[in-house]
Amino acid sequence: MKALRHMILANLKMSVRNRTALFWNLAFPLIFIVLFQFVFSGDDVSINIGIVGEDTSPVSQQVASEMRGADGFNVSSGSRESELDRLDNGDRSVVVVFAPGMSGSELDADLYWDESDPQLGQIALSAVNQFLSNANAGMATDAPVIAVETQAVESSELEYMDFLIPGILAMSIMNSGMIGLASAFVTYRERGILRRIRATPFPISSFILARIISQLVVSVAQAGVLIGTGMLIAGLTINGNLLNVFVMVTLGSLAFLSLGFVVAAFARNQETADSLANAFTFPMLFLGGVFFPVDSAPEWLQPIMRLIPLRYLVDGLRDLMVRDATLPDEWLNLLVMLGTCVVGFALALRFFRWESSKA
Amino acid sequence: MSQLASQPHRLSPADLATGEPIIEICGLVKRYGTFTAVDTIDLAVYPNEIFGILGPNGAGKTTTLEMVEGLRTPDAGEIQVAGIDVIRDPVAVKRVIGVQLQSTALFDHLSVRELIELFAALSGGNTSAEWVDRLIGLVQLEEKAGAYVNQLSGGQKQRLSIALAMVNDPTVIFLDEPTTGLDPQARRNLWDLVRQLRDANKTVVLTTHYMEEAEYLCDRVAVMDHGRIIACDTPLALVQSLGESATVRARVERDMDGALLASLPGATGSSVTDGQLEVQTDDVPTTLTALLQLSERLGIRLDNLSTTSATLEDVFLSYTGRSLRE
Repeated sequence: MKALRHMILANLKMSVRNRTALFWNLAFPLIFIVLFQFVFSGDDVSINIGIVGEDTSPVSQQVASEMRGADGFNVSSGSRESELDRLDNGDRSVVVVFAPGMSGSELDADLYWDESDPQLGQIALSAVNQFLSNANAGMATDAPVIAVETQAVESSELEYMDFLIPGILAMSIMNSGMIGLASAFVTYRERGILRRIRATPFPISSFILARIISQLVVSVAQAGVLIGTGMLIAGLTINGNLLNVFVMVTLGSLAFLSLGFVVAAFARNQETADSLANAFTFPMLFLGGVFFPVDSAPEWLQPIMRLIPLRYLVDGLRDLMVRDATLPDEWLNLLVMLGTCVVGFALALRFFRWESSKA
Repeated sequence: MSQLASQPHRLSPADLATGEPIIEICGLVKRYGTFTAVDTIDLAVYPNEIFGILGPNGAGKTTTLEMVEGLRTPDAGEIQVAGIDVIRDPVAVKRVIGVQLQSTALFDHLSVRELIELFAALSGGNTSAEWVDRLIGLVQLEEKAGAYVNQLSGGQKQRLSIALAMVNDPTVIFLDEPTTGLDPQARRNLWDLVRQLRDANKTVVLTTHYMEEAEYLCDRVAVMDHGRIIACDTPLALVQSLGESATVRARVERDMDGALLASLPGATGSSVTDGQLEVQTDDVPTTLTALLQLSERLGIRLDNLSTTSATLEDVFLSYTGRSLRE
């Protein structure tokens, strides 16, 4: 226990003193937040929404009127043809078409968005999407429609920052877990540090455990700093329970650590480890919905995106931070993280080498 | 013990025969595919000696050491260290030994003091500030106690890794090529340190490919080549086993009669080529005196007169037909 404690403390000291790692773990995500905040501040984005078929059911009427009341939404209503025309002209960011003939218990909506202005279009789309999904979640229960909707409306004042920061948090968990760990372990192996540890009575499994525990501490600290900064400078509102957020952070961190071990198992030297880890993390960044909602990606890409572990961490964090979801609601995202851990550690155990190949 | 402390510190084979070995290696074999890195070696190391394994790169020195340290599993053979069966219980042996690996890099961003404390904890040893201070003092890194590894010189790094090998106050210390890459001054410092370890009642096993180091530092030396131990004794006994103990060399202005040189007392061989005179002898003072008298009698001036004793280099050469430096 004493040895484990010393090793964890030493790891933490090294994390704090390693400026490169500190940059990637903390400064880099913070720069993202500040940069995006700068880009989006000033023009308080007001989203122009066209609603078609408002009159088809009481539910759609209800939704439309809630949307009108929500901040940042500029709602107009019209015929399908005229609204889609305005979408083409850029007067609308999103057009919501409620299918005619819906009963009061079901709501079917088609969303159209302006691809020529992807940034605004996607933000708008995600905002509307979230609004509808909250409304839907409300209607799935047997509780009175309006009461649940009122609650949904409160949590749907979606600023882009509220959307972005959970994504950035997921990104930094992935980076420090995967790139950080893989690169560190491959370096340890290359430079004979692992072998030096093996020359002590300290079990190598404890060495790995110490690394995992210290990495979790780093991730939680990262989450704290990112959320704190987000709240201070970017007006981030946390609607969920922070404790749940940290559960997700921990599990996500474990998942990406396990993938880091997989990379470390296959990479022979630090350069390979870095490029291999980047080859995995970079596409995940874009396919995992960090910057833009996954739903807005083209149809053919959707099945691929469903295979991206990062997506589930992003979704989970977003739901828990912004959408007031509870852990049981997040079972799928938690399960995927757990599954990634199991598969990752199994692969790492099978393929990890303690010695570099030049024996 | 009194004769052990006298200078120069050399154990005679008689001293060694009386003690029980602290390390016993029997029939040790390690193969990598079809290549036999260590080929059926037997060794015994006695308490409180500096035991050297001398050989060229690739002779199997490091592989041997790593098997004794419990880091590699042998294909055949037995190893006992301080009464512990290393193959059966590699963890137990790590508690009683200290290890310095060949060119170990250490964690960046930890200071000398922090590294010593960390490794003391990992070895299950004492982590108190007094003990850490003593180790820092032992390797004379007081001024660098707060420095990171990358701020240390090569010699300081090696001294640090010896301190790390001492954290659990081990019985036996293994040093794998401790002076490779060091400048002469740093090498001498390290030799002093290794002697101090022996004076602190440790047994030291080290590998080296420097014959001067083996000769100067080690009480006994095993000469290793192609995975085999080809000779094992005190450096003096190894050199004496060659018979010819020295060569007398000089430059001469004109050729001397070879027969006269060969008949010098004590001479075992001689040659004069291109003004370079060489006489092999097993009795330097007698031969040298006679040579000086001869040159005076003949009126031949001897320039650059020198004598060279046989070295472990010659031992290696005579056993393998190759030079150690190749």
